[in-house]
Amino acid sequence: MRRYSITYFIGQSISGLLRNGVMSIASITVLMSCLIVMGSFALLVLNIDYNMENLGDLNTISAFVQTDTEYAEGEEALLAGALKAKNGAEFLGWSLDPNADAPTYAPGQKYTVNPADAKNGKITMYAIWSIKPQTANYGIVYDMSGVSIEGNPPVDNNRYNHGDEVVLADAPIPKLASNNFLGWSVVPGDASQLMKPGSIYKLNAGNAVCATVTLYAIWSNMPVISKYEIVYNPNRTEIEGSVPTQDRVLLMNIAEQVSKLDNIKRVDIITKEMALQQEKKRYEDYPEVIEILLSGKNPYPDNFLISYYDNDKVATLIYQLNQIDGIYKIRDRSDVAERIDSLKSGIIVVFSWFMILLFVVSIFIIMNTVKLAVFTRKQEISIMRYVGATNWFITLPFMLEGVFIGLISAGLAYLIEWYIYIYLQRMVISDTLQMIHIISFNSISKWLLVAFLAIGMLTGVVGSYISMRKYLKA
Amino acid sequence: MIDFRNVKKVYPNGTTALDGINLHIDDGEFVFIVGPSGAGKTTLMKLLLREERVTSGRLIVDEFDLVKMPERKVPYYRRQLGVVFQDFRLFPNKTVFENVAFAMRVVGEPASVIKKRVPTILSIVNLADKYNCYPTELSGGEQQRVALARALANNPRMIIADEPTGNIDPKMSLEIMNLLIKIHKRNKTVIVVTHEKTLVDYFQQRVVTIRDGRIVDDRMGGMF
Ligand SMILES: Nc1ncnc2c1ncn2[C@@H]1O[C@H](COP(=O)(O)OP(=O)(O)OP(=O)(O)O)[C@@H](O)[C@H]1O
Ligand SMILES: [Mg+2]
Repeated sequence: MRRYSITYFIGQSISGLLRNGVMSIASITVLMSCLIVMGSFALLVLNIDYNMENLGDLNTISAFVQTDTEYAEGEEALLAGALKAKNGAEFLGWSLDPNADAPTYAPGQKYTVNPADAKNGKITMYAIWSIKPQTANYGIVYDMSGVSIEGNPPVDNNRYNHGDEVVLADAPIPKLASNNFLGWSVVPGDASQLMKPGSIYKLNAGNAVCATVTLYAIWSNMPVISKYEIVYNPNRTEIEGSVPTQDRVLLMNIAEQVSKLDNIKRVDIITKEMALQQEKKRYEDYPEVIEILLSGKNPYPDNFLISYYDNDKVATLIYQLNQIDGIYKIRDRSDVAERIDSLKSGIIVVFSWFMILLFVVSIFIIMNTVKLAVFTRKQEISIMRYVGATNWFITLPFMLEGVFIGLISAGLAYLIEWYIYIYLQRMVISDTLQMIHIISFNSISKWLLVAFLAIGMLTGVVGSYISMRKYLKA
Repeated sequence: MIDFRNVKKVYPNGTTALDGINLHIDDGEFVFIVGPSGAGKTTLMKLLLREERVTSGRLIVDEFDLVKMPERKVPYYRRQLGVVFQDFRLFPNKTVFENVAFAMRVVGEPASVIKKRVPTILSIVNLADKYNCYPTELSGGEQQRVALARALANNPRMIIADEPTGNIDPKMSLEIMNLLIKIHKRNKTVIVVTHEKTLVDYFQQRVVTIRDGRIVDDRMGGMF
């Protein structure tokens, strides 16, 4: 068809709109309301999703772990898993003897605590490697034998060879005045080999373990030891990562048990150090505040962030978590998740019905508007038929009329939605001190406009098509 | 060429309007269709216009088989016909020019062609000076001439007029009839349904008489 036809069609449909004044306005109003409701619904649901995102994954549980890793005699302790040596040596296992050729304990094996293996309450597990490390010269370590002292224990960073003379450190001052420092000894608790502070000790390689000679403080009141700590020693081999500590081993062990439960999506370990780090980061701009709040201690326990799949089975999961040794407190957010879920589904149901209703009303009223337009032009249509007008020539103006109704409604709905949204946003923000975050209208405005125009046009076309259908026969 | 073969038309309500119609009209013929009220004359015209469908029998107009023709072809078939009604059926809000031009616009004729052709057609029906009038400003005879001009707009092969003089005074009726004869002389098939005894007798053309849905008489120079 020629250009004339296009102006003819548009002119016809606009004059149709004007001729049907009241009906057109009614159609536009209803369709506009329908679109506003749709838009509000979309924005609301988007906001709920967005806020859920803000809250983090709601399908999570925090499980707090008590890392009490001091063992009594006869208690079983799980040993750390494999280490990785930087020199490529293969890790064989753990041994109490640093010079052993074969390990006594496999990685991850259980060890029954025996006081005879302990020195000053510490049981040292030496890593045994496929390549024996070379013994270099020797270092000196001072051990306070479990007594609290004022200040830091003495440190000697020098390296010595066999037979070198070592000047022993000065006497440490115990916190309890009633406890007197007697001297140093290479054998823990053995007062018979006592050496005075400041005296000379001729380094004896026979006293060294792992190229280190430990000098144990001897006190007038030696603490009674009933709890034993396990420490790991990489045994003169440089390893990748850090040397395991027993509480880390315990944590890994619990994490493994947790991850074997049903309904578990993911288990993240958040160590007390990480927790402290996070908190410090939050107070980044106020380091004094965090200093005062924490007073140099780390009040955060180790914990797991457990993500799960099914919110319905969360009670079972919590029960199972409570059965695991070491987990002492569980914090779940299933109630929040549930509330938001039900809020969301409630909104969806109500709005869906409302939208369907309005949509049907819109179609119906547009149908009637077009029907009225057709009726007033009935004679014209019959003349067009006699002079050989094609169906689309006859129907196009009416379809366009529907499209115009749709487009005008969409445009108006968009502007109103925009205004309402920005107004509400301002109100909410000023009221709640930004506790609630609302997504900006701009971030979705493009999609909203496109959706509005599309739905508006579609409604117009469908409405007018339905009412035109019976006129499509000659 | 129009060919009715044993055509029967029964309306959905059961009325048999036409039955056993056999009628052949050649290209360029002029035919009066006459008969009493309710005989089925308008029904015959409606079948020709493909406004109604044949119940049984065959109806062929040139290369168009009206029984088999699909719905979407109907507009293109109708462009071969020019129709005139008793009640003119003009657009009251369009000028004479626009009413005639409209038929050409519907078939997508370019504006330049329309501009040239409309005045020519209006002069055929002796209305060249009234092109800017609205139908309400014209007499019945003039309105019917506008309708005739519109029927001629797309240069149809055939003119179908159902009681074109029914709403017009006798003097004007003669003028309309004269125009139809003039059109017939320009080599177009013209079919005119009428009650005007005197006119039929005067023009001495082929007359087909229908009564109770059947053709009872068909003769040259016939009378009522
Ligand atoms: N749409 C219709 N539905 C049912 N019956 C119809 C319809 N149109 C016409 N008829 C009937 O068909 C018969 C023929 O009607 P038609 O209009 O063809 O007569 P006519 O010869 O044109 O009469 P007139 O001279 O009065 O115009 C009549 O009995 C009429 O009642
Ligand atoms: Mg009739």
